[in-house]
Amino acid sequence: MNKQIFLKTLKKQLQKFGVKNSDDYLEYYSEYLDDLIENGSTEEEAVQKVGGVKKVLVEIISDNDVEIPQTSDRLKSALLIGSLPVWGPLLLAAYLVPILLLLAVLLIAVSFLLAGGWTLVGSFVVMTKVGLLYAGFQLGISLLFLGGALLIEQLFAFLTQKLFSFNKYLFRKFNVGGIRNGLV
Amino acid sequence: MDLFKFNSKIAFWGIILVVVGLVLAFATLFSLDFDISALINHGGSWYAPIKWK
Repeated sequence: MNKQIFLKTLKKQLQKFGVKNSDDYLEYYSEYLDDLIENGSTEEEAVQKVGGVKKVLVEIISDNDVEIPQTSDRLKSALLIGSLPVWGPLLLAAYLVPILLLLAVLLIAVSFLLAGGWTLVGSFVVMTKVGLLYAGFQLGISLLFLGGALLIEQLFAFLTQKLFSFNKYLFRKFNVGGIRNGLV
Repeated sequence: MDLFKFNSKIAFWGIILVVVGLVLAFATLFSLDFDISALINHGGSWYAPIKWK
Protein backbone atom coordinates (compact mmCIF):
# COMPACT_ATOMS: atom_id res chain seq x y z
CA MET A 1 0.00 0.00 0.00
CA ASN A 2 1.54 3.32 -0.95
CA LYS A 3 1.21 6.59 0.89
CA GLN A 4 -1.67 7.96 -1.17
CA ILE A 5 -3.85 4.87 -0.87
CA PHE A 6 -3.08 4.72 2.85
CA LEU A 7 -4.18 8.32 3.40
CA LYS A 8 -7.25 7.89 1.21
CA THR A 9 -8.39 4.75 3.06
CA LEU A 10 -7.68 6.37 6.41
CA LYS A 11 -9.71 9.42 5.41
CA LYS A 12 -12.67 7.26 4.43
CA GLN A 13 -12.55 5.35 7.72
CA LEU A 14 -12.26 8.55 9.76
CA GLN A 15 -15.28 9.98 7.96
CA LYS A 16 -17.17 6.77 8.69
CA PHE A 17 -16.54 7.22 12.40
CA GLY A 18 -17.47 10.92 12.19
CA VAL A 19 -14.07 12.23 13.30
CA LYS A 20 -14.36 16.00 13.05
CA ASN A 21 -10.68 16.93 13.15
CA SER A 22 -9.65 14.22 10.69
CA ASP A 23 -7.58 16.72 8.66
CA ASP A 24 -5.20 17.21 11.60
CA TYR A 25 -4.54 13.51 11.80
CA LEU A 26 -4.19 13.09 8.04
CA GLU A 27 -1.68 15.94 7.96
CA TYR A 28 0.23 14.44 10.89
CA TYR A 29 0.45 11.01 9.30
CA SER A 30 1.32 12.49 5.90
CA GLU A 31 4.27 14.32 7.45
CA TYR A 32 5.24 11.27 9.48
CA LEU A 33 5.32 9.16 6.30
CA ASP A 34 7.31 11.85 4.47
CA ASP A 35 9.90 11.79 7.26
CA LEU A 36 10.20 8.02 7.04
CA ILE A 37 10.54 8.21 3.26
CA GLU A 38 13.23 10.91 3.56
CA ASN A 39 15.13 8.63 5.92
CA GLY A 40 15.38 6.00 3.24
CA SER A 41 12.20 3.87 3.47
CA THR A 42 10.09 3.12 0.45
CA GLU A 43 6.44 4.22 0.61
CA GLU A 44 5.30 0.67 1.35
CA GLU A 45 7.86 0.24 4.11
CA ALA A 46 6.87 3.56 5.64
CA VAL A 47 3.19 2.57 5.70
CA GLN A 48 4.19 -0.74 7.27
CA LYS A 49 6.26 1.01 9.94
CA VAL A 50 3.31 3.24 10.82
CA GLY A 51 1.26 0.07 11.33
CA GLY A 52 -1.30 0.09 8.51
CA VAL A 53 -4.76 1.61 8.36
CA LYS A 54 -6.41 -0.50 11.07
CA LYS A 55 -3.80 0.18 13.72
CA VAL A 56 -3.64 3.91 12.94
CA LEU A 57 -7.44 4.11 13.00
CA VAL A 58 -7.60 2.51 16.46
CA GLU A 59 -4.84 4.85 17.65
CA ILE A 60 -6.70 7.92 16.38
CA ILE A 61 -10.05 6.88 17.82
CA SER A 62 -8.52 6.18 21.21
CA ASP A 63 -6.53 9.45 21.09
CA ASN A 64 -7.37 12.09 23.72
CA ASP A 65 -7.68 14.95 21.23
CA VAL A 66 -10.00 13.22 18.81
CA GLU A 67 -13.30 15.02 18.24
CA ILE A 68 -16.14 12.64 17.63
CA PRO A 69 -19.48 14.39 18.15
CA GLN A 70 -21.81 12.56 20.48
CA THR A 71 -25.35 12.11 19.20
CA SER A 72 -25.98 15.83 18.99
CA ASP A 73 -29.49 15.76 17.72
CA ARG A 74 -31.42 14.63 20.76
CA LEU A 75 -34.78 14.94 19.00
CA LYS A 76 -33.57 12.67 16.23
CA SER A 77 -32.46 9.95 18.60
CA ALA A 78 -35.62 10.33 20.69
CA LEU A 79 -37.71 9.88 17.54
CA LEU A 80 -35.65 6.89 16.53
CA ILE A 81 -36.14 5.20 19.89
CA GLY A 82 -39.79 6.30 20.12
CA SER A 83 -40.60 4.74 16.76
CA LEU A 84 -38.87 1.48 17.66
CA PRO A 85 -42.21 -0.37 17.91
CA VAL A 86 -42.81 0.53 14.26
CA TRP A 87 -39.48 -0.12 12.59
CA GLY A 88 -38.26 -2.76 15.03
CA PRO A 89 -40.67 -5.52 13.97
CA LEU A 90 -40.32 -4.49 10.31
CA LEU A 91 -36.55 -4.79 10.54
CA LEU A 92 -36.84 -8.12 12.33
CA ALA A 93 -39.26 -9.38 9.67
CA ALA A 94 -36.93 -8.23 6.88
CA TYR A 95 -34.09 -10.05 8.59
CA LEU A 96 -36.14 -13.22 9.11
CA VAL A 97 -37.52 -13.47 5.54
CA PRO A 98 -34.31 -14.75 3.90
CA ILE A 99 -33.67 -17.16 6.79
CA LEU A 100 -37.17 -18.63 6.50
CA LEU A 101 -36.91 -18.83 2.71
CA LEU A 102 -33.74 -20.79 3.22
CA LEU A 103 -35.57 -23.10 5.60
CA ALA A 104 -38.26 -23.57 2.95
CA VAL A 105 -35.61 -24.54 0.38
CA LEU A 106 -34.19 -27.08 2.85
CA LEU A 107 -37.67 -28.53 3.45
CA ILE A 108 -38.24 -28.86 -0.31
CA ALA A 109 -34.96 -30.76 -0.58
CA VAL A 110 -35.93 -33.07 2.30
CA SER A 111 -39.38 -33.75 0.86
CA PHE A 112 -37.88 -34.50 -2.57
CA LEU A 113 -35.48 -36.90 -0.87
CA LEU A 114 -38.30 -38.66 0.98
CA ALA A 115 -40.48 -38.85 -2.15
CA GLY A 116 -37.53 -40.12 -4.21
CA GLY A 117 -36.58 -42.74 -1.62
CA TRP A 118 -40.18 -43.93 -1.27
CA THR A 119 -40.82 -44.23 -5.02
CA LEU A 120 -37.42 -45.91 -5.47
CA VAL A 121 -38.37 -48.63 -2.98
CA GLY A 122 -41.85 -48.76 -4.51
CA SER A 123 -40.47 -49.30 -8.02
CA PHE A 124 -39.02 -52.67 -6.94
CA VAL A 125 -42.43 -53.67 -5.60
CA VAL A 126 -44.02 -52.56 -8.89
CA MET A 127 -41.42 -54.58 -10.80
CA THR A 128 -42.52 -57.82 -9.14
CA LYS A 129 -46.24 -57.05 -8.89
CA VAL A 130 -47.07 -55.12 -12.09
CA GLY A 131 -44.39 -55.18 -14.74
CA LEU A 132 -41.00 -54.00 -15.84
CA LEU A 133 -42.21 -51.00 -17.89
CA TYR A 134 -44.28 -49.62 -15.03
CA ALA A 135 -41.34 -50.16 -12.70
CA GLY A 136 -39.07 -48.33 -15.16
CA PHE A 137 -41.47 -45.39 -15.23
CA GLN A 138 -41.58 -45.23 -11.44
CA LEU A 139 -37.79 -45.62 -11.22
CA GLY A 140 -37.43 -42.68 -13.63
CA ILE A 141 -39.71 -40.56 -11.48
CA SER A 142 -37.80 -41.53 -8.34
CA LEU A 143 -34.47 -40.62 -9.98
CA LEU A 144 -35.99 -37.27 -10.94
CA PHE A 145 -36.96 -36.69 -7.32
CA LEU A 146 -33.55 -37.76 -5.99
CA GLY A 147 -31.67 -35.63 -8.53
CA GLY A 148 -33.95 -32.71 -7.69
CA ALA A 149 -33.24 -33.26 -3.99
CA LEU A 150 -29.48 -33.12 -4.61
CA LEU A 151 -29.75 -29.97 -6.73
CA ILE A 152 -32.02 -28.18 -4.26
CA GLU A 153 -29.74 -29.21 -1.40
CA GLN A 154 -26.85 -27.62 -3.29
CA LEU A 155 -28.94 -24.49 -3.79
CA PHE A 156 -29.52 -24.49 -0.03
CA ALA A 157 -25.79 -24.83 0.65
CA PHE A 158 -24.98 -22.01 -1.78
CA LEU A 159 -27.62 -19.67 -0.33
CA THR A 160 -26.51 -20.50 3.23
CA GLN A 161 -22.98 -19.44 2.38
CA LYS A 162 -24.27 -16.20 0.85
CA LEU A 163 -26.44 -15.46 3.89
CA PHE A 164 -23.52 -16.21 6.19
CA SER A 165 -21.23 -13.77 4.42
CA PHE A 166 -24.01 -11.16 4.39
CA ASN A 167 -24.36 -11.54 8.15
CA LYS A 168 -20.60 -11.22 8.53
CA TYR A 169 -20.78 -7.99 6.53
CA LEU A 170 -23.62 -6.68 8.75
CA PHE A 171 -21.62 -7.57 11.85
CA ARG A 172 -18.57 -5.72 10.54
CA LYS A 173 -20.61 -2.70 9.56
CA PHE A 174 -22.50 -2.23 12.81
CA ASN A 175 -20.03 -3.49 15.37
CA VAL A 176 -17.53 -0.75 16.20
CA GLY A 177 -15.64 -3.15 18.46
CA GLY A 178 -14.96 -5.14 15.30
CA ILE A 179 -12.14 -2.83 14.25
CA ARG A 180 -10.20 -3.82 17.36
CA ASN A 181 -10.43 -7.45 16.32
CA GLY A 182 -9.11 -6.55 12.88
CA LEU A 183 -12.40 -7.15 11.10
CA VAL A 184 -12.64 -3.84 9.22
CA MET B 1 -17.80 -34.49 1.80
CA ASP B 2 -19.41 -31.46 3.38
CA LEU B 3 -23.07 -31.27 2.41
CA PHE B 4 -23.35 -27.72 3.71
CA LYS B 5 -20.84 -26.28 1.28
CA PHE B 6 -21.48 -25.87 -2.42
CA ASN B 7 -19.88 -28.84 -4.14
CA SER B 8 -19.89 -28.97 -7.93
CA LYS B 9 -19.49 -32.78 -7.86
CA ILE B 10 -22.78 -33.20 -5.99
CA ALA B 11 -24.48 -30.73 -8.33
CA PHE B 12 -23.07 -32.66 -11.31
CA TRP B 13 -24.48 -35.97 -10.02
CA GLY B 14 -27.78 -34.25 -9.28
CA ILE B 15 -28.02 -33.13 -12.91
CA ILE B 16 -27.04 -36.63 -14.11
CA LEU B 17 -29.79 -38.19 -11.96
CA VAL B 18 -32.38 -35.71 -13.25
CA VAL B 19 -31.43 -36.34 -16.88
CA VAL B 20 -31.38 -40.13 -16.49
CA GLY B 21 -34.69 -40.00 -14.62
CA LEU B 22 -36.28 -37.83 -17.32
CA VAL B 23 -35.10 -40.11 -20.14
CA LEU B 24 -36.21 -43.25 -18.30
CA ALA B 25 -39.58 -41.78 -17.32
CA PHE B 26 -40.39 -40.50 -20.83
CA ALA B 27 -39.11 -43.62 -22.60
CA THR B 28 -41.26 -45.89 -20.46
CA LEU B 29 -44.22 -43.50 -20.42
CA PHE B 30 -44.55 -43.53 -24.21
CA SER B 31 -44.26 -47.31 -24.40
CA LEU B 32 -46.93 -47.76 -21.71
CA ASP B 33 -49.86 -46.42 -23.81
CA PHE B 34 -51.18 -44.20 -21.06
CA ASP B 35 -54.20 -42.18 -22.12
CA ILE B 36 -52.51 -38.90 -21.24
CA SER B 37 -55.36 -36.63 -22.32
CA ALA B 38 -57.72 -38.63 -20.09
CA LEU B 39 -55.19 -38.27 -17.27
CA ILE B 40 -55.10 -34.51 -17.65
CA ASN B 41 -58.80 -33.96 -18.41
CA HIS B 42 -60.35 -36.18 -15.83
CA GLY B 43 -62.85 -33.43 -15.00
CA GLY B 44 -62.30 -33.55 -11.27
CA SER B 45 -62.87 -37.24 -10.89
CA TRP B 46 -59.90 -39.44 -10.28
CA TYR B 47 -59.15 -41.72 -13.16
CA ALA B 48 -56.11 -43.94 -13.34
CA PRO B 49 -55.76 -44.92 -16.99
CA ILE B 50 -53.73 -48.02 -16.35
CA LYS B 51 -54.59 -50.95 -18.56
CA TRP B 52 -54.31 -53.88 -16.20
CA LYS B 53 -53.40 -57.20 -17.75
